[in-house]
Amino acid sequence: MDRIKLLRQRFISGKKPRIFVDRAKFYTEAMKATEGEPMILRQAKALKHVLENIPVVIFPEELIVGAMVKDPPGAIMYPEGVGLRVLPELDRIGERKNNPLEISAEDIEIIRNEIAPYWMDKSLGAVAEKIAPKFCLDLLYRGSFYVATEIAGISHFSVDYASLLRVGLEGIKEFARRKIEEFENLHLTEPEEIEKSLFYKAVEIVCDAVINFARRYAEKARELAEKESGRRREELLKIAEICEWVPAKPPRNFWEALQFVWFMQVALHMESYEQGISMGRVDQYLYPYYERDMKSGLLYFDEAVELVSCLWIKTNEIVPLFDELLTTYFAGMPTNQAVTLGGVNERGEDATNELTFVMLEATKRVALRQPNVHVRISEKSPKSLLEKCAELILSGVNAISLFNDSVIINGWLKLGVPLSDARNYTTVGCVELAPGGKSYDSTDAALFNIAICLELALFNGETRFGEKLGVECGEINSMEELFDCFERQVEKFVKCMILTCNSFEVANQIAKPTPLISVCNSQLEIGKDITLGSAKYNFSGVQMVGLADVADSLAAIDDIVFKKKLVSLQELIKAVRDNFEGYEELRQTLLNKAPKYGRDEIANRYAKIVAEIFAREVMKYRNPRNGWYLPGIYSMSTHVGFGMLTGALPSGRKAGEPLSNGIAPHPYTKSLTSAMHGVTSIDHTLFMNGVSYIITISPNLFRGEEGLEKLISLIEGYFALGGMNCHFNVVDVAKLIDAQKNPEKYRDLLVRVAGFSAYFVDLTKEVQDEIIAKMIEEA
Amino acid sequence: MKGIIFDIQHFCVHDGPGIRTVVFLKGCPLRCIWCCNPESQILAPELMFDAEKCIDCKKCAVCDAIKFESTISLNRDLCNACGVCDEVCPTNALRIVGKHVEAREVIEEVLKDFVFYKKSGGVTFSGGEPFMQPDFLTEMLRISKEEALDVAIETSGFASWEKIERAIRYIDHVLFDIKAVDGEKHVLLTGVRNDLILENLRRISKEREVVLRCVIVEGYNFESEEDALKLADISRSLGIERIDLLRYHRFGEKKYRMLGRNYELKVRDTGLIHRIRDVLKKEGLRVSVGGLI
Repeated sequence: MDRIKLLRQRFISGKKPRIFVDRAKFYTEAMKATEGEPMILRQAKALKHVLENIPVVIFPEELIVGAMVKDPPGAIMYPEGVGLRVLPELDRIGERKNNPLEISAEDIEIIRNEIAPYWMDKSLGAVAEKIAPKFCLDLLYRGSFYVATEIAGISHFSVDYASLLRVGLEGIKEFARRKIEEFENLHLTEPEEIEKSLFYKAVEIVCDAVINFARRYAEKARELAEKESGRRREELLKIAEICEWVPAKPPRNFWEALQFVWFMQVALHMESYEQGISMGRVDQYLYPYYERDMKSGLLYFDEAVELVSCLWIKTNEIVPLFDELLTTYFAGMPTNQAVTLGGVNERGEDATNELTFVMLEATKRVALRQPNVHVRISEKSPKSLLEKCAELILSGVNAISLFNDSVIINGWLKLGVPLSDARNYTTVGCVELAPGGKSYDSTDAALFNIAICLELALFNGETRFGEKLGVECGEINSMEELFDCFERQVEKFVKCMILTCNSFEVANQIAKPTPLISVCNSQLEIGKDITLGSAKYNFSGVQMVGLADVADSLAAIDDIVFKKKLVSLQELIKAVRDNFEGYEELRQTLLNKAPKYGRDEIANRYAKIVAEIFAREVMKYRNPRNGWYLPGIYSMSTHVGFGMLTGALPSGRKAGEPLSNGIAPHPYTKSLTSAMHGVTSIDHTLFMNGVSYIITISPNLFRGEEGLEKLISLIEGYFALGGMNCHFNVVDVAKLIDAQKNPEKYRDLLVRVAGFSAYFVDLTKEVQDEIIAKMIEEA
Repeated sequence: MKGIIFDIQHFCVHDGPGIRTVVFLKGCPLRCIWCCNPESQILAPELMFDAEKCIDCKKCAVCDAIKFESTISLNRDLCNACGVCDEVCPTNALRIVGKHVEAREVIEEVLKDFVFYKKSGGVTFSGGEPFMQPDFLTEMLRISKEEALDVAIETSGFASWEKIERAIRYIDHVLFDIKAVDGEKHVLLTGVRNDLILENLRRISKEREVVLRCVIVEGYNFESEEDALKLADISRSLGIERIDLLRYHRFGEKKYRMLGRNYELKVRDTGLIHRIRDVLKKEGLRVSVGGLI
């Protein structure tokens, strides 16, 4: 069997991922043993202990080695973060409805007896609770105002591999050693040097830890080679040789460079939790190795595709360990290890190269959930790049997102990022952005429900249950007064969210310094842990959720209440409070007669104003790393979680229904281009943490070469309008069947039916059946 | 200059090259028995009623045409399409289809998507039969060209040559519907003869590249592969290379109900469309089968 097919099998077999306690067990052991020492050394030693003891496994036919868990797919437990939230659910976690996980009875015992008791008062959450304002924590725990994630750790960054590959970990270790020696030899007398030398000691420990971890793999490969013969034996011996060399030293060839990256990815995931640890501009920093090997005839295109595929597959080894509540907010088990391809280089020239295409080809062959493949498109990108992306999108590879260089670079410049770093930006996680080089941007620090701010504005600062949490503004008699009241709620709750995030960051500084991330992305000469602000860029990203709901609601109030005077504001508020019980006619009017974001100019204007209010409030604040907060617009699946806890809205939405997803409008419009006009009426350069726009299409809308051209025109048009990012969701038969059962989820699902395209859910059941039957027949 | 349209659809990808906006003009001289857009036929606004959406709120009981007993009842003879019911109906169960609009207004709406047209897309005028409003159409065409839009037209070809001649210089692509090849059948199925249509096709094809479009309604306009050969003859004699075959569908059935009309056509599908496709391909034509694929 083909190697790639064999390796990906494990991830499509449908077997339940298992929770593995190894990392948690060794981490806890080390933390218990080092009580009383400086925290940064304890963290370094803990990582060392983990990497010395976690199982070393090489799977059949692997070329890139280093297992995140011993029998993937599986979940790593981070007891110092939110890993122990599953504790009460462990006994039935295999049976839960969403994302069930396996765990052995023995491991449950280890968690209960050895791990959990130790962390009860020491986890990031426990520390944070001693720091954060109580009101802000209460709001957080309600789950309806915001989700602040740094209680789990920070992660969410793009590793600066370009620098790491140049020197290797031994290079960094030497630098740290020199610093330590200077200190030990009494050459450094400034008081700050004491803490710096501690930091460098931690750096030395973690570098050694990762180097030795790789050597364990060298040994393992040799051991396995003994039992093999022929081709696989040769491969294993080669792997052994590679693991001896990287990541200690700078790689000598393409294979070593890929293996270097993967060892670092594994080690980083053992230090910090599994969200958004991204690989950056892979086709750039790996290209010199690729080019050299190709030129000297050591590598062929197909081999390169195979090697990259092996790396891509490894990113699928882990799933997050979320309890049921978190699964609602972050559904689909994302780990969001992003890779960035294409775009321009630091000099503004097109950076697309042959390796870009190798990686896209690998993406097509692997076709799994991970990694998130982010392709930067600039005006200088060759036509072939967008063509290849369009081809992949239409073939149903849904892991590809497209990013618009001109908008993003422009956005960085507005924030004062120098041109070369702006051009060298990378992507993080799902849609987030980071300037090139040394950046640590905690891009998913929090997600904010803006719709609940409107709810409180309507109820004079109270929740629909009558709790006084917001700002009182008195009776509202005009759009201006409503806006004013809404802004005051946003101001208050954004402040609470930021205070929460900042408290959590301080908790990280105290309880979870991350020396290995510091090795990767801090400016080492500063000699401080990265949680203290030693990166060159130190933003934090917080996202707005529910934009379309607020825009539609404001537009509805403006139109139905103030312009057409069909209902008084007081009566509308009453209807909203009663979840439209007894007000169905009014609800229908709001749904069908009011302007909607993505369709009508006035609602687009409201979306723009709401977005700007959020951006302005967020950008007032700094984080404890002395970086600024940046706004974003995306929701993961928090629009569902927040939606469950948000009351009815004047848009006609009933209580509990999901809010809008990312920057996308609710699917009232029947035209994708009209939706795009709406989406781009918002200035995306204000949202430099990233904007998510998901477009659902049926592949049969874009058949053949002409179809490819049309998809390209659509993307280029969207980017010309100022769109920052788009992601296509190509529907298949299964989705159509689901759409029949849950039409509300698929209101914008376009299908090609006869001489025209139609909205699938608009069609009668019989016609839907016919389309499905035809699609099956022609597949 | 005003005319009557019943829809403007943005982001259409199957009505000419590239991404297009389609302007649907209301009014058609043909009455094809399989017509899937019955609301396109009459050259005036009409009331459509979707009973499934009605919540019996009675807000629409504002004129003699709408009465409520246990439920709503419409007397279409008394309806002058004034639009008040459309305005007050909370669920859009009642809608006036068709409105009078300025030519420039239409093109301004089309131009909103200019950024998406750039490679090959543009505007397509369809119907109804666009040539049924020749002055309005020609004015929209003229403005389109002023605005550098790529222009396509979808027509049944049933119009005096003089009307077509005036317009043709503004048109880049012609999508020409062939309802039936046989003249007698054409009268029976559409209500009009096809001599004028075929003559216009002959003349248009000298001036512009034409794509033929045929909906295959098995047992009605096409009965066997022989009909396909006749179609191939016409194409070849006029130097037309491309034919789009469209599947027959019943998606318009509900709209007949919404207009208070009946739809009685029953069609047996034995896959004739594929056999026709194969014949035409063998005859050297570029054939595509649209719909349901």
